[in-house]
Amino acid sequence: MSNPDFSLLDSALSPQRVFLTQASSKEELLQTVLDKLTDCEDVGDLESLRAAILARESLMSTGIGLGIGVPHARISSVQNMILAVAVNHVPLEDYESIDGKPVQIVFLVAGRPDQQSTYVQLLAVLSHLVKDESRRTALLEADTPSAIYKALRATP
Amino acid sequence: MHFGILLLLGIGVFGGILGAWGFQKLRIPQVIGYIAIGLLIGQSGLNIIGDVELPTLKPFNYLALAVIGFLVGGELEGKIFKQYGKQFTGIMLGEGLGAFFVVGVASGTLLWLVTGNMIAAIAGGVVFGAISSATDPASTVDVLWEYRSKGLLTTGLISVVALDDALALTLYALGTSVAGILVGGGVEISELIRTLGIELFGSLALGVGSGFGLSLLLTKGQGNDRSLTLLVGSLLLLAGITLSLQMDVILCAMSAGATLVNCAPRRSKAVLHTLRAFSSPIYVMFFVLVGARLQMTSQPAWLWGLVAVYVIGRTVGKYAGTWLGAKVSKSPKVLQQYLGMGLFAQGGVAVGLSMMASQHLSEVMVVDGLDLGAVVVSTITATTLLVQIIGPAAVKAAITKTGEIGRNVTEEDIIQELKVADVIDSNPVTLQENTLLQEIFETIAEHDQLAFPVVTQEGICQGVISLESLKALFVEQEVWGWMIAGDVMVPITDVVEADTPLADAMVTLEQLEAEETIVRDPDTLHPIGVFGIRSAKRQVSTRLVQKQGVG
Repeated sequence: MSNPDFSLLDSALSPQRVFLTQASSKEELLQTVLDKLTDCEDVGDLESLRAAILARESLMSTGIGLGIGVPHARISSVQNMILAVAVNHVPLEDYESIDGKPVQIVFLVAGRPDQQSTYVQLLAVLSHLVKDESRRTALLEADTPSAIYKALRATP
Repeated sequence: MHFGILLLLGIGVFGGILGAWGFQKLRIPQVIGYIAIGLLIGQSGLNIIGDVELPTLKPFNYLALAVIGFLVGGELEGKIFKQYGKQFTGIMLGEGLGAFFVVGVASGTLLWLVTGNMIAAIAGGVVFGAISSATDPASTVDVLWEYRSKGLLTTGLISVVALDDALALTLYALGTSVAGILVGGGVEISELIRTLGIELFGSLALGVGSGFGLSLLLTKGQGNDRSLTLLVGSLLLLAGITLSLQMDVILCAMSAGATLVNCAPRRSKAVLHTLRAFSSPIYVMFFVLVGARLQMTSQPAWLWGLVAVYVIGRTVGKYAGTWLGAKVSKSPKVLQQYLGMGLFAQGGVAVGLSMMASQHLSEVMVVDGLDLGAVVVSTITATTLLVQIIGPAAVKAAITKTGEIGRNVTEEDIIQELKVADVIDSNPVTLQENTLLQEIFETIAEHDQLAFPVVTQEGICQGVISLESLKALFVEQEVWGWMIAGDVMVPITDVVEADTPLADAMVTLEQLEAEETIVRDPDTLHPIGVFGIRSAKRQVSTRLVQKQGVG
């Protein structure tokens, strides 16, 4: 994938779902991000989403390496594909990433069971975006949600 | 009480089906069930279809004979005759002449012993002999179709029953002329030429011409619906023309069917298939009417003796004649031993000839108050009833002995019989929901399976993974190390279940454009197996080969 597919990203992400967080553990970080989605209509039933995200984490950690976490789940209560981004103030050691490094940037993805194709493609786009070290650095250095959003959408 | 014609047809067809169903439960060919219902509601029974109604339904009978004749003719493919033409002709001559001589001598002797009238005895013997040579193609072929029989014996039976009507007509024409000479009616050469010319060669010529015309029309690319209409229209015309020209409807329709199947083999197969489906109620009604027409009135005791002599003589003559004909023509052993058993049925042609004889021989008095024509009609009616019970049962016994039952099956028949559970690939390779994508690709590469069930630790199947569903991730190798089966699986929808009929399941999968799907146990939700079109077709083909057997 040479050029990131921003259209897929844009359809799932809105600036209102970009957060700066102050969590001290993986669980706290996930709960914080989920709590911030309370008013998001596309979530449908927040508690179901919470349970699905935690169930997925119990199968295998979503720490995909390079300081990135991608908690995700597909459940029928979700209305539309959702992407939320959080940059924590400190890296979290307990995230159990595949490369063993602490996680500081989290992309939470939720979709419906019938959105398998789009869902998988969005996860692949995110994985591709964060391979770019300068983008990761920009995300970590961003001090406002809008700066995070801008860094994420920046064309290399 | 008089019933409307439609109600009579309804009673006939519905009653016939009930009778067939009852007899089938007793493992007796359905045709006997139709005739039994005919007897029950006919002249000898409840008289619902009696002497008032029977003439009204006569045109229907001609149409039925035309349809039956056409379908029988449609079985006569030229390539069979190229291979076995000599043998089948030899057998037909053997069985026809065998019955002619044995019945002729036996019935003639009995008539002479009873009446002391040598001339009437010889005349009667010749006519009885000629009539006995005909075999009823309709009930014989009905049994073969009912039991989906296929093989050398089946082909031989169809060919011989189709051919021996022509022999019967020839023998009858010659026989009645001889009888005419003997009883002093003079040599009616003109009558003989007329009978042979019109009934035999005229019928054959009209049939061949119609068959050729039909093949031209059908190859003009008519749709199947229009083809059926064309065919039924042609058969109505054919029946009407043969009737008005005093030709033989069954012989004419048979030669039309045989001509069509050999001129347009591919196109005619589909049309004949459609006609066969369409002909089912016609068949039922035809045999119900055969039963309804039979009269079991009181007869002189010696007439029952004649009935017995005729049936025994015909059975012996047909069997021995077949054996001899088959032996002389060096036919395969199966034909020598069993073909004779399948030739006992007697039907339309014999009854028709007996009706003609009643006119031809009405002047010949056998005893006081009883003419030879009446003797022939009564005897043939009673014997028809007997051999229509013995005949189909003997056909069934013959095809059972040779193992030809159930071999005439198509892939569609097999598909109709099966359920998804019968063709499922059980014990499929499963993927745990936390299996990494990297490992999933390796598993897919190692197994000849298109759809993989994704299961929880408890074994519950929640989704399915196929190579098709992972297409987008082929090049995204960076996700292979962290995405798991649960992330990429397609949720299971239970489109088919183990007890879904195979035909429905195949249609469903084709509509979904899916090659394979997972079948779950509805209670435990564990995967039972993988159902796929490719594997199902392979299994259907295997079963088809097994059912058709060798030869």
